[in-house]
Amino acid sequence: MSDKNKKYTSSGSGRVTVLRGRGALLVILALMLALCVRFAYLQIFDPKDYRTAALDQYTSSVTIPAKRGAIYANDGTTELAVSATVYNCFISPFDIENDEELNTVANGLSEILSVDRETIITKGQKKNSKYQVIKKFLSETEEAAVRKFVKENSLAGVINLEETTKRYYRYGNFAAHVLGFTGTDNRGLSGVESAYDEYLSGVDGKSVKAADGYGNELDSGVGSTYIPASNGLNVVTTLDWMIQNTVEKYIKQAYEEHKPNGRVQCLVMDVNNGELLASAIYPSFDLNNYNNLSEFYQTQYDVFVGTEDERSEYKSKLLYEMWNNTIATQTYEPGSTFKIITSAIALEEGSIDTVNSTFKCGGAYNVAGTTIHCHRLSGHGKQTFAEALVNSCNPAFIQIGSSIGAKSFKKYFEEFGYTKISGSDIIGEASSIYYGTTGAQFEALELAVYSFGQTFKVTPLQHLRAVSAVANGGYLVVPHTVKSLTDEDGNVVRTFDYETDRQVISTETCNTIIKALTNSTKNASVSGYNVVSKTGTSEKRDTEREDDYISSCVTFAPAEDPQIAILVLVDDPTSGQHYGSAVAAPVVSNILTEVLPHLGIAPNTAEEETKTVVDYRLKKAEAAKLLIEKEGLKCVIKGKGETVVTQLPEAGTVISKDGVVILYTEGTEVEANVKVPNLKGNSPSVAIKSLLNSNLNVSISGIFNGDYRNCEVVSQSVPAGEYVVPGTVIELEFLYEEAIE
Amino acid sequence: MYSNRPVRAKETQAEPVAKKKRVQLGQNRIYRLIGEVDRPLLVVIIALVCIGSVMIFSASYAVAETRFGDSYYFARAQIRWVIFGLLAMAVVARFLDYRILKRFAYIFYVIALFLNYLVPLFGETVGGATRWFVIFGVQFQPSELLKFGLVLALSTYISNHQSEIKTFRRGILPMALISLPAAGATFMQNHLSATIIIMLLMFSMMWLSGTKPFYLGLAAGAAGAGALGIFTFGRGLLEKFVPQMFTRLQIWEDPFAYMSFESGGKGWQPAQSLYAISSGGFWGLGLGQSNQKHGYLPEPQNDYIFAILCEELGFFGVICVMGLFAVLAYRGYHVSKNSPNRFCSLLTMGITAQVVIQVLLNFAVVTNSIPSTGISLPFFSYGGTSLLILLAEMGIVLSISRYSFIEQG
Repeated sequence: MSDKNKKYTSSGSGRVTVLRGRGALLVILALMLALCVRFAYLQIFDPKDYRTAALDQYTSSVTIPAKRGAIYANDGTTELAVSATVYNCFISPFDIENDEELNTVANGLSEILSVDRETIITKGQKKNSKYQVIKKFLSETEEAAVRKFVKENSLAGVINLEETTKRYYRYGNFAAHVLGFTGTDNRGLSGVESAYDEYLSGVDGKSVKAADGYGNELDSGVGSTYIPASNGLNVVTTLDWMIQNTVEKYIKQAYEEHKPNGRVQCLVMDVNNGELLASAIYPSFDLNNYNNLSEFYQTQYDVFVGTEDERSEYKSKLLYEMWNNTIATQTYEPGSTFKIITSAIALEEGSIDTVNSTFKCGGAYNVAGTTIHCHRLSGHGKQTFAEALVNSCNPAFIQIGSSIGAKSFKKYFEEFGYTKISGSDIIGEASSIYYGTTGAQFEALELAVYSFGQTFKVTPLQHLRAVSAVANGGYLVVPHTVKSLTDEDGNVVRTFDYETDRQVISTETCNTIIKALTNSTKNASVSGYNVVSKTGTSEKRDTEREDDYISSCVTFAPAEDPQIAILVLVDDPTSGQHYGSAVAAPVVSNILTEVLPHLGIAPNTAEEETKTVVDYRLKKAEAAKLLIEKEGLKCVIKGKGETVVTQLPEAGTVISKDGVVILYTEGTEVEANVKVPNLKGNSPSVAIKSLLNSNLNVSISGIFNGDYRNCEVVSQSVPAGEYVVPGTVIELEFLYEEAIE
Repeated sequence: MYSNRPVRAKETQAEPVAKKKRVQLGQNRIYRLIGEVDRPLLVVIIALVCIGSVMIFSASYAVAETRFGDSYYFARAQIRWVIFGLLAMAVVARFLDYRILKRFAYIFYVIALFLNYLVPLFGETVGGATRWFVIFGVQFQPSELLKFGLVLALSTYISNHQSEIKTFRRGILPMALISLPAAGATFMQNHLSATIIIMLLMFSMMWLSGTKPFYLGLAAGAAGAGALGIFTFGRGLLEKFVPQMFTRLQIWEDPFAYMSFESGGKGWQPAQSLYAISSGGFWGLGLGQSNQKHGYLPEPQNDYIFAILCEELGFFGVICVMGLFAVLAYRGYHVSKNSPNRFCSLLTMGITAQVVIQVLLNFAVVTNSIPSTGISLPFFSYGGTSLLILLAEMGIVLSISRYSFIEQG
């Protein structure tokens, strides 16, 4: 290079090439610079955000469905509703190669899934579709058969299975109206499923995965995230599996016996906390096939005549009717069962008293120019409050209502919760219809009719709630169907607490009513138990027919300490009977006979508390003593002889199980040498002990189920100070304190 | 072998360490010292070959694994050709006498032309285009030979007709006549990119030969005006008469609109290339970390390999590779400037131009700066025979660089 002259490039054409080469080089470098700018534009500034677009194409987001919580009975373990993984079968017509393949698919699937072959062919001909559902919710056998078929015929991609979840209701019809059901999107549509949907459904998770162009996971894992699903909580209902079943069994039986035009409804509530132990309506429906009309409705649908549109509209109407939980969503006139409330108001206000107030009934009563008849046209004559209540005498209750006065009546009517919905967790509670909503005046006539439960309408739920207040000592509770939420491990994560301390009437008032009504309805009675019942037969005034009644019976049990309240309604029975005591009361009796022992409430053991003395005469004294003591009785032998000649009490006498038997041997005289003590005002335990110590026997009355609290002796069959023979049975009558006043 | 510094004329007395050889060149009795090859050029070439080989493996292993169950499928094949090619380069650089090239230039070109015209008849069809011969299982693209043959033929013609080159009849016309059969051959192969390269090579050689700028300006102006005219006013005509071209134009304008299967999917590759390039950012995702090569950017080992490099090594990697190519271009110019005669000078520049034109076009394609057309990236794209030819050409440049030192006899 130092020697330029020697180079050919230093002059002439060679120089031209070099100069032009230099120009070309400059152009090249300029173009490279321009491309660098272009790269910088894309890589550093990326104004169109290709980077994000690229990320988007790698990542796909898959929803991880949250498992819907189960619904349990009140024991927390009996599953009522559960979600299970099932499969839908769909085909991808896009991937079907030819008609021959479509034929194979159609033949195979129609056989396995019992789907019409032509339907599959039609779907298979939608060439551009990749998703044609053939059948949803395959059974396990169907699923296995489809998998086998796909494998054998190499139809992967043509026939596909997709995972989904289905809600199963373990017992089909069980508490259908309470539990409700979920739609195809797995969201609750009615009942508990809907009301507690936010807890049951959980929160779906999300899995964002980066996949390569072949669908495999991308090594770099760019953009991947995983948010696990938060499964739904389980709902523990207040429903008692056994009680609900019993109720459903007997309302069905009642339905078949009385063939009502309407429904038979029954509600069982824990009076102390408002938990609904059972809530049933017959005719019911199958939750697993909630879109199918149950037999009762199908019959109506079958006879319906109309166009296709009208028929489908009618079917929807029937479905809604079938699903309707009328216990909370429909009102009725409570009728005579309301007399419990009228009584409670009158007693609480002191407008009547149990001893002095009497009510005359001549079979009819005139209020403000309107004559109202009693159900006994001959009249009940002169009655005390308790008699009037047991007689369900309308004229008496018109008088009781009148004694309360409209103002007080309205006040209590509201306090018993009749003017507002109960605040339960049942969706769609209906508002009651009463003077406040109808705008009618509330004067003497209205008060008179309200007193025996007519002309206003409340829901069964509202009514049972008010009656329960009388059962539990005066507290208005909130009826509800769910008590707690549990997580997957069964831990309680939330309990639902409702107000239970809102006292509307005094406990004394309640006890008075309970006493008056205890075992007053023979048809509703339960052997071995004392129950408090009031029946009702209300006219349905909003129908045209004359003899359209709702027969009902409300009961709480046991009378000694009411635990549950039950309401049975039979809407328009057609069996020829319509009195609540004839139609509804036996249902109550049947149900309670099974339910009370189930609840662990011991039957009254009055019979077992006593012993019948057998004949010990002519037996050896010592042998007889052994026999008596073996019975658990006390034995006293008078005289020195060997053989028993006389005994007290005599054979066949009923004495208490801890009673005493005195045996007299030959040559011993029976002497009336025992002085009867004064027992009035003594408590049961003191009185009984005192008598037994004096070798006297005792028979007690007025004690509910062995409850010795709050009661004292009010009378004794032998006056104090008299002398009687040993072993004499002294009858003692007890009265609970609140009834003494 | 190349470990010593080139021996300069002045230094010969001072007992140079390098081997030297006196060669008599022609009748001028100009003696020329055969020195060592241009070392910066050699370093650049080896650097490019190394980076290219690494990138071949990085870009191809996913697609190789998927397609052949062997992630080394492409890399192994390419490495064989790299070794083969480097050997060829060394042999050519060491032993080739450029005068032999000049002597057989026209024959070589005619054979290359002949082969190219045979391609449509006997060639292998790949992806709808017939551009390859398969000889003993080796795919071979005759158009690669043709490009070199054209540079060789034009260099020979120009060096033989230096004095008349400024005339139209002896300058422009013969060169065009020499080039047109090559353009025709590639056009018949429906190998548009090769046709473009051949036209550009012809243009470059005319420019370097010293033809009147007027003619070239006229041609360049006509081409530019034509392109602009079509682009702005002739779209309707284009759509009507050359619908494939029109589609290509539309895809270039918005490749993302043609990504879906329904729209033909022809926008997929350029769109994915843009995604890859942008994803790289400044420093890149790291070598081997590309996501796009996993089934998103099709054939990542071929024409679009640079997009994967962009994604993995970022703008930084782009600058480095661009720098290497710039040095390559500069050293090509340098060797040309110092070459012993006009033929060598033109041949060196022609070969350099051929490489650089392909590089620039490839970069323009991957960045969607021009409509997509199949242009491979020298030293990078998968393809054994083209790499072999490329390295052999580099060997020629290196060989010529050894003649850059002249000494009067």
